[in-house]
Amino acid sequence: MSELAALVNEALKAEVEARRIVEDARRRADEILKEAKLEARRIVEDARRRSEIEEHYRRTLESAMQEVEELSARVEELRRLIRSLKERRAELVEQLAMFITDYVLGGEGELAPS
Amino acid sequence: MFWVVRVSSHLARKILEDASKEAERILYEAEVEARRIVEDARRRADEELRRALEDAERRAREEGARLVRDARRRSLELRREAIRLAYEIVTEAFDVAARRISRVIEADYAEILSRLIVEAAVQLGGDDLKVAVNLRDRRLAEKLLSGLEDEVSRIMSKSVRLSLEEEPVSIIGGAIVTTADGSLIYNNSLEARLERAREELTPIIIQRLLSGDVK
Repeated sequence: MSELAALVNEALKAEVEARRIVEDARRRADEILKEAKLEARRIVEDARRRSEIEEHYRRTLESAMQEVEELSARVEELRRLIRSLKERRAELVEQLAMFITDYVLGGEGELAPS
Repeated sequence: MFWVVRVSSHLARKILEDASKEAERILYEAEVEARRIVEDARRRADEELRRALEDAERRAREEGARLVRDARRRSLELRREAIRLAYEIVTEAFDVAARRISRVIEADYAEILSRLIVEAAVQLGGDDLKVAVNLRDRRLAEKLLSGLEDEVSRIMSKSVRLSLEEEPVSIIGGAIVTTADGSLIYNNSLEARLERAREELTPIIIQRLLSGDVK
Protein backbone atom coordinates (compact mmCIF):
# COMPACT_ATOMS: atom_id res chain seq x y z
CA MET A 1 0.00 0.00 0.00
CA SER A 2 2.86 2.30 0.70
CA GLU A 3 3.89 2.00 -2.92
CA LEU A 4 0.40 2.82 -4.05
CA ALA A 5 0.38 5.78 -1.73
CA ALA A 6 3.67 6.90 -3.16
CA LEU A 7 2.26 6.66 -6.64
CA VAL A 8 -0.84 8.60 -5.73
CA ASN A 9 1.35 11.13 -4.06
CA GLU A 10 3.40 11.38 -7.23
CA ALA A 11 0.27 11.95 -9.26
CA LEU A 12 -0.88 14.63 -6.85
CA LYS A 13 2.51 16.32 -7.08
CA ALA A 14 2.24 16.18 -10.84
CA GLU A 15 -1.21 17.78 -10.58
CA VAL A 16 0.19 20.56 -8.41
CA GLU A 17 3.07 21.08 -10.80
CA ALA A 18 0.62 21.09 -13.70
CA ARG A 19 -1.44 23.82 -12.02
CA ARG A 20 1.71 25.81 -11.45
CA ILE A 21 2.71 25.46 -15.08
CA VAL A 22 -0.73 26.63 -16.26
CA GLU A 23 -0.79 29.45 -13.73
CA ASP A 24 2.66 30.57 -14.82
CA ALA A 25 1.51 30.47 -18.43
CA ARG A 26 -1.54 32.54 -17.54
CA ARG A 27 0.60 35.11 -15.72
CA ARG A 28 2.98 35.24 -18.64
CA ALA A 29 0.03 35.56 -21.02
CA ASP A 30 -1.32 38.43 -18.91
CA GLU A 31 2.08 40.09 -19.07
CA ILE A 32 2.24 39.62 -22.86
CA LEU A 33 -1.20 41.16 -23.24
CA LYS A 34 -0.34 43.99 -20.87
CA GLU A 35 2.83 44.75 -22.81
CA ALA A 36 0.90 44.58 -26.07
CA LYS A 37 -1.63 47.07 -24.73
CA LEU A 38 1.13 49.40 -23.59
CA GLU A 39 2.78 49.10 -26.98
CA ALA A 40 -0.55 49.78 -28.66
CA ARG A 41 -1.10 52.89 -26.54
CA ARG A 42 2.41 54.10 -27.31
CA ILE A 43 1.89 53.57 -31.04
CA VAL A 44 -1.35 55.57 -31.02
CA GLU A 45 0.10 58.36 -28.88
CA ASP A 46 3.17 58.57 -31.11
CA ALA A 47 0.93 58.93 -34.12
CA ARG A 48 -0.92 61.77 -32.41
CA ARG A 49 2.34 63.52 -31.61
CA ARG A 50 3.78 63.11 -35.11
CA SER A 51 5.52 66.28 -36.16
CA GLU A 52 4.43 65.73 -39.75
CA ILE A 53 0.92 66.85 -38.78
CA GLU A 54 2.14 70.32 -37.82
CA GLU A 55 4.51 70.29 -40.76
CA HIS A 56 1.62 69.49 -43.08
CA TYR A 57 -0.40 72.30 -41.48
CA ARG A 58 2.49 74.71 -41.92
CA ARG A 59 3.11 73.72 -45.55
CA THR A 60 -0.56 74.01 -46.47
CA LEU A 61 -0.75 77.42 -44.80
CA GLU A 62 2.43 78.58 -46.49
CA SER A 63 0.93 79.23 -49.93
CA ALA A 64 -1.84 81.31 -48.37
CA MET A 65 0.72 83.16 -46.26
CA GLN A 66 2.59 84.15 -49.39
CA GLU A 67 -0.55 85.81 -50.72
CA VAL A 68 -1.17 87.38 -47.31
CA GLU A 69 2.36 88.80 -47.33
CA GLU A 70 1.82 90.27 -50.80
CA LEU A 71 -1.48 91.77 -49.66
CA SER A 72 0.15 93.09 -46.48
CA ALA A 73 2.80 94.78 -48.57
CA ARG A 74 0.02 96.27 -50.70
CA VAL A 75 -1.80 97.41 -47.57
CA GLU A 76 1.38 99.09 -46.32
CA GLU A 77 1.86 100.76 -49.69
CA LEU A 78 -1.73 102.03 -49.62
CA ARG A 79 -1.26 103.35 -46.08
CA ARG A 80 1.81 105.28 -47.22
CA LEU A 81 -0.08 106.59 -50.26
CA ILE A 82 -3.05 107.73 -48.15
CA ARG A 83 -0.72 109.40 -45.64
CA SER A 84 1.09 111.15 -48.47
CA LEU A 85 -2.15 112.27 -50.14
CA LYS A 86 -3.39 113.68 -46.84
CA GLU A 87 -0.14 115.46 -46.05
CA ARG A 88 0.24 116.89 -49.56
CA ARG A 89 -3.42 117.59 -50.20
CA ALA A 90 -3.16 121.38 -50.42
CA GLU A 91 -0.04 121.18 -52.56
CA LEU A 92 -1.63 118.63 -54.91
CA VAL A 93 -4.84 120.63 -55.21
CA GLU A 94 -2.84 123.71 -56.16
CA GLN A 95 -0.66 121.83 -58.63
CA LEU A 96 -3.65 120.14 -60.27
CA ALA A 97 -5.71 123.34 -60.32
CA MET A 98 -2.90 125.07 -62.19
CA PHE A 99 -2.66 122.21 -64.63
CA ILE A 100 -6.44 122.08 -65.17
CA THR A 101 -6.64 125.85 -65.63
CA ASP A 102 -3.86 125.75 -68.16
CA TYR A 103 -5.42 122.76 -69.91
CA VAL A 104 -8.84 124.43 -70.18
CA LEU A 105 -7.35 127.66 -71.41
CA GLY A 106 -5.77 125.71 -74.23
CA GLY A 107 -2.24 125.63 -72.96
CA GLU A 108 0.12 122.76 -73.28
CA GLY A 109 -0.07 121.80 -69.65
CA GLU A 110 2.11 119.04 -68.33
CA LEU A 111 0.73 117.05 -65.45
CA ALA A 112 3.11 116.15 -62.71
CA PRO A 113 6.52 117.05 -63.95
CA SER A 114 8.76 114.77 -61.98
CA MET B 1 3.33 -3.87 -8.95
CA PHE B 2 5.27 -2.93 -12.07
CA TRP B 3 2.10 -2.02 -14.03
CA VAL B 4 0.97 0.25 -11.21
CA VAL B 5 4.25 2.14 -11.31
CA ARG B 6 4.12 2.45 -15.09
CA VAL B 7 0.54 3.55 -15.10
CA SER B 8 1.16 5.97 -12.32
CA SER B 9 4.23 7.47 -13.97
CA HIS B 10 2.30 7.66 -17.19
CA LEU B 11 -0.51 9.47 -15.42
CA ALA B 12 1.88 11.96 -13.86
CA ARG B 13 3.59 12.49 -17.17
CA LYS B 14 0.24 12.88 -18.89
CA ILE B 15 -0.84 15.43 -16.31
CA LEU B 16 2.36 17.38 -16.86
CA GLU B 17 2.16 17.03 -20.66
CA ASP B 18 -1.43 18.26 -20.65
CA ALA B 19 -0.44 21.14 -18.43
CA SER B 20 2.44 22.02 -20.75
CA LYS B 21 0.14 21.87 -23.76
CA GLU B 22 -2.40 24.04 -21.95
CA ALA B 23 0.38 26.47 -21.05
CA GLU B 24 1.58 26.54 -24.66
CA ARG B 25 -1.96 27.14 -25.85
CA ILE B 26 -2.43 29.94 -23.35
CA LEU B 27 0.85 31.57 -24.38
CA TYR B 28 0.18 31.06 -28.08
CA GLU B 29 -3.27 32.61 -27.79
CA ALA B 30 -1.81 35.47 -25.73
CA GLU B 31 0.81 36.11 -28.39
CA VAL B 32 -1.77 36.00 -31.15
CA GLU B 33 -3.97 38.38 -29.19
CA ALA B 34 -0.97 40.60 -28.45
CA ARG B 35 -0.10 40.77 -32.16
CA ARG B 36 -3.71 41.58 -32.95
CA ILE B 37 -3.74 44.35 -30.34
CA VAL B 38 -0.54 45.86 -31.74
CA GLU B 39 -1.73 45.49 -35.34
CA ASP B 40 -5.04 47.10 -34.44
CA ALA B 41 -3.15 49.90 -32.75
CA ARG B 42 -1.02 50.42 -35.86
CA ARG B 43 -4.10 50.51 -38.07
CA ARG B 44 -5.78 52.90 -35.65
CA ALA B 45 -2.63 55.01 -35.51
CA ASP B 46 -2.45 55.11 -39.32
CA GLU B 47 -6.09 56.03 -39.49
CA GLU B 48 -5.70 58.67 -36.79
CA LEU B 49 -2.66 60.07 -38.57
CA ARG B 50 -4.54 60.18 -41.88
CA ARG B 51 -7.44 61.95 -40.21
CA ALA B 52 -5.09 64.29 -38.36
CA LEU B 53 -3.35 65.20 -41.63
CA GLU B 54 -6.69 65.78 -43.33
CA ASP B 55 -7.81 67.84 -40.37
CA ALA B 56 -4.55 69.83 -40.37
CA GLU B 57 -4.97 70.47 -44.08
CA ARG B 58 -8.57 71.56 -43.64
CA ARG B 59 -7.66 73.82 -40.71
CA ALA B 60 -4.71 75.27 -42.60
CA ARG B 61 -6.85 75.92 -45.67
CA GLU B 62 -9.58 77.53 -43.60
CA GLU B 63 -7.09 79.61 -41.65
CA GLY B 64 -5.26 80.57 -44.84
CA ALA B 65 -8.52 81.50 -46.57
CA ARG B 66 -9.52 83.59 -43.55
CA LEU B 67 -6.19 85.39 -43.46
CA VAL B 68 -6.29 86.05 -47.22
CA ARG B 69 -9.90 87.22 -46.96
CA ASP B 70 -9.06 89.61 -44.12
CA ALA B 71 -5.99 90.93 -45.94
CA ARG B 72 -7.98 91.40 -49.16
CA ARG B 73 -10.74 93.18 -47.29
CA ARG B 74 -8.23 95.48 -45.62
CA SER B 75 -6.49 96.14 -48.92
CA LEU B 76 -9.82 96.85 -50.61
CA GLU B 77 -10.91 99.20 -47.82
CA LEU B 78 -7.66 101.17 -48.10
CA ARG B 79 -7.88 101.20 -51.87
CA ARG B 80 -11.40 102.64 -51.58
CA GLU B 81 -10.17 105.21 -49.08
CA ALA B 82 -7.29 106.18 -51.39
CA ILE B 83 -9.67 106.51 -54.36
CA ARG B 84 -12.09 108.59 -52.29
CA LEU B 85 -9.24 110.84 -51.18
CA ALA B 86 -7.84 111.16 -54.71
CA TYR B 87 -11.33 111.94 -56.00
CA GLU B 88 -11.75 114.65 -53.35
CA ILE B 89 -8.40 116.18 -54.32
CA VAL B 90 -9.31 116.20 -58.02
CA THR B 91 -12.76 117.62 -57.33
CA GLU B 92 -11.26 120.35 -55.18
CA ALA B 93 -8.66 121.09 -57.85
CA PHE B 94 -11.42 121.40 -60.48
CA ASP B 95 -13.36 123.73 -58.18
CA VAL B 96 -10.29 125.92 -57.72
CA ALA B 97 -9.61 125.81 -61.47
CA ALA B 98 -13.25 126.71 -62.23
CA ARG B 99 -13.05 129.75 -59.95
CA ARG B 100 -9.81 130.87 -61.58
CA ILE B 101 -11.13 130.32 -65.10
CA SER B 102 -14.30 132.30 -64.37
CA ARG B 103 -12.12 135.24 -63.34
CA VAL B 104 -9.68 134.94 -66.16
CA ILE B 105 -8.94 138.26 -67.70
CA GLU B 106 -5.35 137.74 -68.40
CA ALA B 107 -2.94 139.75 -70.41
CA ASP B 108 -2.69 136.90 -72.82
CA TYR B 109 -6.43 136.24 -73.01
CA ALA B 110 -6.35 137.27 -76.66
CA GLU B 111 -3.97 134.44 -77.28
CA ILE B 112 -6.18 132.04 -75.36
CA LEU B 113 -9.31 133.07 -77.23
CA SER B 114 -7.47 132.82 -80.55
CA ARG B 115 -6.32 129.30 -79.74
CA LEU B 116 -9.83 128.23 -78.79
CA ILE B 117 -11.40 129.66 -81.94
CA VAL B 118 -8.73 128.11 -84.18
CA GLU B 119 -9.09 124.74 -82.50
CA ALA B 120 -12.89 124.77 -82.94
CA ALA B 121 -12.66 125.91 -86.55
CA VAL B 122 -10.15 123.20 -87.42
CA GLN B 123 -12.25 120.56 -85.68
CA LEU B 124 -15.28 121.60 -87.74
CA GLY B 125 -13.27 121.34 -90.96
CA GLY B 126 -13.16 125.00 -91.92
CA ASP B 127 -15.36 126.50 -94.69
CA ASP B 128 -17.95 129.07 -93.63
CA LEU B 129 -18.12 129.25 -89.84
CA LYS B 130 -19.83 131.41 -87.26
CA VAL B 131 -18.11 132.32 -84.02
CA ALA B 132 -20.12 133.16 -80.89
CA VAL B 133 -18.52 134.77 -77.85
CA ASN B 134 -19.82 136.54 -74.76
CA LEU B 135 -20.47 140.23 -74.64
CA ARG B 136 -17.18 140.97 -72.91
CA ASP B 137 -15.09 139.24 -75.59
CA ARG B 138 -17.01 140.58 -78.60
CA ARG B 139 -14.73 143.48 -79.37
CA LEU B 140 -11.62 141.35 -78.92
CA ALA B 141 -13.04 138.63 -81.18
CA GLU B 142 -13.83 141.18 -83.90
CA LYS B 143 -10.21 142.26 -83.88
CA LEU B 144 -8.90 138.71 -83.97
CA LEU B 145 -11.13 137.06 -86.57
CA SER B 146 -9.43 138.16 -89.79
CA GLY B 147 -6.05 137.03 -88.57
CA LEU B 148 -7.55 133.77 -87.36
CA GLU B 149 -9.21 133.21 -90.75
CA ASP B 150 -5.76 133.27 -92.31
CA GLU B 151 -4.36 130.94 -89.71
CA VAL B 152 -7.16 128.37 -90.06
CA SER B 153 -7.01 128.61 -93.87
CA ARG B 154 -3.31 127.91 -93.70
CA ILE B 155 -3.79 124.95 -91.40
CA MET B 156 -6.66 123.54 -93.46
CA SER B 157 -5.01 124.43 -96.77
CA LYS B 158 -8.27 125.90 -98.01
CA SER B 159 -10.19 129.13 -97.80
CA VAL B 160 -12.01 129.49 -94.49
CA ARG B 161 -14.38 132.25 -93.52
CA LEU B 162 -15.01 133.17 -89.91
CA SER B 163 -17.78 135.56 -88.99
CA LEU B 164 -18.97 136.75 -85.61
CA GLU B 165 -22.47 135.80 -84.46
CA GLU B 166 -24.66 138.82 -83.94
CA GLU B 167 -25.98 137.69 -80.60
CA PRO B 168 -23.53 137.27 -77.73
CA VAL B 169 -23.77 134.00 -75.81
CA SER B 170 -23.86 133.57 -72.08
CA ILE B 171 -20.54 131.93 -71.42
CA ILE B 172 -17.66 132.90 -69.17
CA GLY B 173 -15.14 132.87 -72.00
CA GLY B 174 -13.92 131.03 -75.06
CA ALA B 175 -16.08 130.57 -78.13
CA ILE B 176 -18.85 128.45 -79.64
CA VAL B 177 -18.20 127.86 -83.32
CA THR B 178 -20.87 126.51 -85.70
CA THR B 179 -21.01 125.69 -89.37
CA ALA B 180 -22.98 128.24 -91.42
CA ASP B 181 -25.96 125.91 -91.78
CA GLY B 182 -25.90 125.28 -88.00
CA SER B 183 -25.57 121.51 -88.48
CA LEU B 184 -22.31 121.22 -86.54
CA ILE B 185 -21.33 122.94 -83.32
CA TYR B 186 -18.01 122.97 -81.55
CA ASN B 187 -18.48 124.32 -78.06
CA ASN B 188 -15.10 125.65 -77.02
CA SER B 189 -16.44 127.85 -74.24
CA LEU B 190 -14.35 127.75 -71.08
CA GLU B 191 -17.10 126.02 -69.12
CA ALA B 192 -17.56 123.39 -71.85
CA ARG B 193 -13.82 122.85 -71.91
CA LEU B 194 -13.81 122.60 -68.14
CA GLU B 195 -16.52 119.92 -68.24
CA ARG B 196 -14.70 118.02 -70.98
CA ALA B 197 -11.52 118.27 -68.96
CA ARG B 198 -13.37 117.03 -65.89
CA GLU B 199 -14.62 113.98 -67.79
CA GLU B 200 -11.37 113.28 -69.56
CA LEU B 201 -8.89 114.13 -66.84
CA THR B 202 -10.56 112.97 -63.63
CA PRO B 203 -9.91 109.23 -64.16
CA ILE B 204 -6.41 109.90 -65.48
CA ILE B 205 -5.44 112.15 -62.57
CA ILE B 206 -6.94 109.77 -60.02
CA GLN B 207 -5.00 106.93 -61.58
CA ARG B 208 -1.80 108.93 -61.43
CA LEU B 209 -2.41 110.04 -57.86
CA LEU B 210 -2.99 106.42 -56.86
CA SER B 211 0.14 105.24 -58.59
CA GLY B 212 2.07 107.94 -56.76
CA ASP B 213 2.95 109.43 -60.12
CA VAL B 214 2.05 113.01 -59.28
CA LYS B 215 5.09 114.44 -57.57
